[in-house]
Amino acid sequence: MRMLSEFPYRFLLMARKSQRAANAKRDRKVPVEEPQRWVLPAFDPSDERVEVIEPDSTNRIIQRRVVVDGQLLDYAVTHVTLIGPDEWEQVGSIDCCHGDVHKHSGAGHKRGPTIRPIYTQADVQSSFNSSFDEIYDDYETFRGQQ
Amino acid sequence: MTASRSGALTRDSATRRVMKTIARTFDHETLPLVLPDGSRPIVVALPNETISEVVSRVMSIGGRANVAVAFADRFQTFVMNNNASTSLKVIEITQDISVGYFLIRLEQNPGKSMRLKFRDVDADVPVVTVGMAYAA
Repeated sequence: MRMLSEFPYRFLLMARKSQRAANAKRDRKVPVEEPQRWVLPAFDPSDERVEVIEPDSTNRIIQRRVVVDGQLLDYAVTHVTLIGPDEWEQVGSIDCCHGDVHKHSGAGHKRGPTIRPIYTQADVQSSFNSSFDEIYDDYETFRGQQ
Repeated sequence: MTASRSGALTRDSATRRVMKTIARTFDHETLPLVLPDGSRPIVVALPNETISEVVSRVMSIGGRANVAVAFADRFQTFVMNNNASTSLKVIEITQDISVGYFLIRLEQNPGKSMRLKFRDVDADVPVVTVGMAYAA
């Protein structure tokens, strides 16, 4: 009689124990290793291109790129503004050095947060357009406030 | 952002498209003018602007530039020097015209330099044009 009454309780304990083990196994965190970030390989100085546009007479956008056999390896897009005769000051820039796309702001080149990580050279290439747009958006805002 | 309400390109949207295409196509011939410091100055123009407006922007960026004329589906580039140099084969333009018509005049006179000489404008276009479709 006693054994019969204990049976459901024991069964319940065993079920709980096995459930806890399953939960522990599920919750055990397996550390995910981040893939290695993109590192710019050595390049010939002739592979570096710099294009300058002047959307208005007091602002310039400078686009610097490293291109090897038609493949974009590195870039920086910079907005500068005229502060004196032939004197330009940086307003903002976006580049992809150190394995991520990030922004710098102001003349002090203050680094902002990571916009996106760069794991491969294809990431460099695919992030260029959005980086250019972001600098140009900022330029248009800046122009509106000038 | 890419166009005005009428659907026509604005100079800002044209600048974005031209610069992104240049960045992706990596064509040396598109921007033949390279300054001694290695940079390539670019002036983006629309076909309905006057050529004198473009000359003033070329002066502002240093007197020499690769000019990219942006159409809806492509752009065409040529080199412009603010201080005209002498050339044997020169077609002179003595009045202000639209950039679009200026390109027509260039195409009508292959192999010949164009000299712009009117009011306070004195510039030349010594290099033939190069056309390029926008990158997708």
